Amino acid sequence: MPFFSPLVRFRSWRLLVAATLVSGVVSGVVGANELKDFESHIKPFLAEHCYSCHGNKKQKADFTVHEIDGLITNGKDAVHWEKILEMISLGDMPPEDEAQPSKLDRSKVKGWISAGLRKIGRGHDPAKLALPHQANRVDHDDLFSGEFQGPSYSPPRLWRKSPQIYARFASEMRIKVSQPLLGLGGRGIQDYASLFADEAIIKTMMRNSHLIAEHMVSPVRSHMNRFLNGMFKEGAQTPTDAEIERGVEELFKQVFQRKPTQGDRERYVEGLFEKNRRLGGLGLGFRSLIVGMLMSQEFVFRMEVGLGGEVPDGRKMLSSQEMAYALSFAFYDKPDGELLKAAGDGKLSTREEVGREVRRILEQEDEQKRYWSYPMYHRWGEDYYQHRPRVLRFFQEFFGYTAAADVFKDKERGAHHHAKRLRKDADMFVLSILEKDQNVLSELLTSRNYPMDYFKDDRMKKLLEGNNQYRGVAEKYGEEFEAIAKTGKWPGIGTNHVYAYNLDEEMADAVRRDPGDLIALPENERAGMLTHPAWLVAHSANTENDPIRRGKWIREHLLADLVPEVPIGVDAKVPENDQLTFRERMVILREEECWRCHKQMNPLGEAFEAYDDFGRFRKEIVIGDADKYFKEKRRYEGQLKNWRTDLKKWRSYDAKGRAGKVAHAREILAGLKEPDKEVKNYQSARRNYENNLKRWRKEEEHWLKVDDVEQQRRLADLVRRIAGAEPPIAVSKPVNARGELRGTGNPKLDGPFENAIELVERLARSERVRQSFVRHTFRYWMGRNETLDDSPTLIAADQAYVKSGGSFKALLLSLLTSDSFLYRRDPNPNE
Amino acid sequence: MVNRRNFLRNMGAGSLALAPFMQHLRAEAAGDPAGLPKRFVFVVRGNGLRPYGIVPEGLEEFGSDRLNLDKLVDRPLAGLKLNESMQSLEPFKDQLAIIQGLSSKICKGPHGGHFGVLGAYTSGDHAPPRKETLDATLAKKFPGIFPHLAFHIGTKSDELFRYLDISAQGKNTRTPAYASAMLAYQEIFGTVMTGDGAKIEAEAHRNLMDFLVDDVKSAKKSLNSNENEKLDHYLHGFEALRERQVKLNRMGDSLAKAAPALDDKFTSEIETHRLEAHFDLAASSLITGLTNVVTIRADHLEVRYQGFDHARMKEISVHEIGHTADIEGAADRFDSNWKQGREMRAKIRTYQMELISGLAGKLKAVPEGDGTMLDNTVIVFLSDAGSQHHTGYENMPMVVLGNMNKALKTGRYLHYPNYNKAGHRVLANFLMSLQHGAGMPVDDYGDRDLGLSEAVDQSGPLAELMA
Repeated sequence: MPFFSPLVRFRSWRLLVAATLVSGVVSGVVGANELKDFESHIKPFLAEHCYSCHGNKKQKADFTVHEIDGLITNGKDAVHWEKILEMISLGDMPPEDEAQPSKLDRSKVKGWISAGLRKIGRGHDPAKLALPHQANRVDHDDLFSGEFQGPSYSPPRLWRKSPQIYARFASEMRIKVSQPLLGLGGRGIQDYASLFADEAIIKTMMRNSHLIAEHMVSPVRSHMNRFLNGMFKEGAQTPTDAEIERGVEELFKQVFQRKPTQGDRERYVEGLFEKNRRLGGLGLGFRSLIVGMLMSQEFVFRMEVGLGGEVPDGRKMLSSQEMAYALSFAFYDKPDGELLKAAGDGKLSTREEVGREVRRILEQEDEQKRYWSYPMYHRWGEDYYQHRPRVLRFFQEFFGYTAAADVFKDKERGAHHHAKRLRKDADMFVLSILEKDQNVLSELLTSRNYPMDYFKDDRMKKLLEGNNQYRGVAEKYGEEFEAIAKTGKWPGIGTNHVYAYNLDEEMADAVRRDPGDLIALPENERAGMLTHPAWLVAHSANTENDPIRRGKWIREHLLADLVPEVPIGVDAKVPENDQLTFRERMVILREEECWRCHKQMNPLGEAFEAYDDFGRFRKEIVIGDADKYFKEKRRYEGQLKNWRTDLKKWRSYDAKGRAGKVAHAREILAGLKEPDKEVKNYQSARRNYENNLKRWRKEEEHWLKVDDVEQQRRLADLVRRIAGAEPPIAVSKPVNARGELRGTGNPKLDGPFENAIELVERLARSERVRQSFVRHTFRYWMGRNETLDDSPTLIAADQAYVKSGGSFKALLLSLLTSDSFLYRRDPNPNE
Repeated sequence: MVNRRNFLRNMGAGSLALAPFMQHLRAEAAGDPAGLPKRFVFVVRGNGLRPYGIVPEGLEEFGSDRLNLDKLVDRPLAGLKLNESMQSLEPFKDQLAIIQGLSSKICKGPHGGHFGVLGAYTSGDHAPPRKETLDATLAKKFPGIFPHLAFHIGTKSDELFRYLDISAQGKNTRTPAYASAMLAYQEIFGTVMTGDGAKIEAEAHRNLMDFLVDDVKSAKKSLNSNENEKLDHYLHGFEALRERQVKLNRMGDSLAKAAPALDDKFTSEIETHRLEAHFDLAASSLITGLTNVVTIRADHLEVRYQGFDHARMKEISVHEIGHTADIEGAADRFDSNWKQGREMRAKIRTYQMELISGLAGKLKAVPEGDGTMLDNTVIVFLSDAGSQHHTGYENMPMVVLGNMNKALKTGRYLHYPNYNKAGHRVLANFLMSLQHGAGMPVDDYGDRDLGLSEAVDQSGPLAELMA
């Protein structure tokens, strides 16, 4: 095969490698061929695009390629080749303002390098490339060009069950066990088909399985072991074969949701149960059987091999049984009874039948709405939302706002902060938009209506409305309830976190009255998830914003782009300086070497400087002792409010009652002083303060020793000065949230913006952002990264979303009835 | 106390197949100390190990965070009184090395370098490990029946396992650690039973494992190579477990005799009790030769100490203790919080040193070769967060106990010059020293700190520490 055969469409790196390997073998000596290809095709490419900056004239970033060893397999310049590969793959080089190689040339050079590196075990690690955040390596324009016609399929696979599925099963067994499984780790999608189970997992699961087995054969009856425990009661008769048979069948139903087959009878019953029963009696037999079932690959993995019918091009459909599980776990953490029934009745083997079931599931209303009304105060479990839990989990993992609880915030700095409540607010925000199911992504990015949670026992409200059925709660809440009944005001239990939204008292009280109601926040302050305190906190550092992480998030989640990793050896720290804002301190990143990558992140992430690291909207950035400043400011505002209220109250009194009081309030109000922050140069002011104190103390010491007439006067003067000296608190600067959006592929949307609101509104209008969202949805529900073969699936899903007016249900229906979901085929049958 | 000679003598003929023991026996008989296995204990705490808390009396100047040192300081510990929090280690002074000034700026993360501390590589917050860490490497070199035992203080008493964030068996594979001391006891010492009942259980277990191995093998047929790899992980897991059980069974009841005394602390709600149990288990496992490498996560930021007689400590987590005691600015204010923070820190540090001293004492009581087991052991105590709560990794203070059969020169206080000064060294150099001492002469380990000038030698062991 000639090297630059136009016939070769490199659809995935695997195919490409195969192609290159074949070409090497066909032409005989691999090395010689490799060198020939290098001289004829690669070197000219490097000469044209790289030498001018990385050759003998210029050596930018201390990196040159003009003397690189063309024989990659020698290994001498492997590190250099890896660097070149990464730059070309990510499109980072050549720089934008230089002439760009054609897409085809780029992909060919990429293929040639990675094939060479792979031969010596270097280059991209396939396990890493399989991670979700690497999926953006597949060119976005190619994916949505319509040029690639599939056919689409997933590989036959075992998808290890998720921690949630395991936890759900264990909780139904009413047994407290350790969680053996972990997700992918880090931020983002957690449940992926590439996960595996190793010895550490087995050890924990084995332990759990034994605990469960012990429980099942215990003489103490429970809901789960009721069909077995009769055999193990004291004085129980030896069970008949039929009774044992029934026990085994029930176990199969409980663990595998099916009846034992003939093969199972041979393997499980004869090969394990009977063997061990003969050894140590019925108890040992059943225990071994249960552990065997709970450790079997059928229990630990989801089988998606493709055991259904074959289509002419060799792809095989999932069998109806496989389909029932695949669909169950697409929505729930446990197998769905109706799906299993449909599979058992033979009504889940065509695309139409799958569509029917998906529609059925999507149309189910969350009738109880427990999530909205249930007092969540004491239940912060991960799995409190059980109506299609995996749908909400997608948004949690996509936006990553649940990580808010992982970011430590000092209590002294933000007494109001409660990450888990913010997280629940964000959950409700997502659910409120999904409920309407119109323009879902755009609403998520720009909606001004935020639900806020706080603890309130609904029964209190009902009792107040006169429903005496709930009189027990009056006793339960005692004084608290009496106070509500008397004043009609709801107490502030757990409402402090709403200060993150800059609510005034009136709005905060509205939240208390009707938690979960949508509160419309000012148009110029908030818009959508990216200005939601939960998201802002999740993407912040301990004591300040994290514009870099935020920018990276937008690039990778909304713009289908990939930001290179922090180069090893770079000390990713921004210098301390208490006179500058964080944004100003980050100026050092604008130096050429850093800016090459940081220009992809900072101009986006800095849009959120209008919020502090607790997610509170701000117009000014306070530098210096901001904690103290805010503390004093809060106190000042509190006093101001109290006295104003009193003033209002007293004004309404008759003349006699108010005499003196109004004047008093006025006097105090006039005397209230806003904490000072008008110090232009915080550092020097602080230094002055410290020097003064030192000098005065010294003088004081001096005068104490001197027995002099002056003494008293001087000392008194000093004491007064020392007592009156106040450290400067802070200095404030106006917020600068300007930035620039690039990479939407739409010149109307790209360009500078003033603030985060403008940014998210533009993002919400972008086609590329929508498609990027579709790609993430695909990854989550397919459990793998998309390839060019999945192009038809992605285009269809995107169209379904658009045509339905932005219905997430339509998007899901399209994905779950796509070839990528239904069909299996080995991508590399020869390997 | 287990007397190892008696213990060995009492072992039945059936246990002769036990490789580690025979290895010891032969080496002991031949008077060949080099044949004795090396043992490694890594005790890693969170929140930083404060320099002022480990410097001996008279060397207080080296306990300052602002110390600017451009020459190596090397003082013998003999004649110096150890730091107040290290009084329990006085009896081991000649086998002690207190080391400061090694940097590890390849580590990132505001509260700890994660796998990077023992693996000498950059490892981000929440990210899975990139490669194996040194403790796992050593465990492979000196395998026991349990090649690598690990413990984690956990946060709740009903927690069974926890994956370590500082130790990895390989890429993407965190080291699993026992959080429950009871579970560890059962799995290490409680799995062997004697008599007919045991035979039956053992055979039943074998049947079960055979079944599971077959179960996985049968599934492999219908899958391609990628998916087969996934099942191979699963299969190897079963096979390793099966093999270990066979070895443990061979040890018979001698194992039960060597087990630590089972008491309340194994199931206690109090985290310090659990930690004591972890140290007991570590001692017994090392003494019986069940393992040669132990990693103990002695605390981490989420722990809330209930076991100390200190009201405030019951309320706040280690994370908050770190903020109260270390945060810049707090020190300038000299408020009572700050003093209280330091007080709490001292309590924890002293307690951890006492646990280490207890473990060392037990090893010292068991003769081995010409000396004791402690002579062939090294205990490394450090924090994954270096010298303070919010760390910059410029100084990774540590306490090293044991000289690995005179491979290390101990009984000294070593303080390396500041970051990037001539003569400065990195943590990786120390990790290489351990490898040299273990007979694995590695001179290039982990990621290089590119922020360091050429003048700083990042390869090879710490010459000053090697005998």
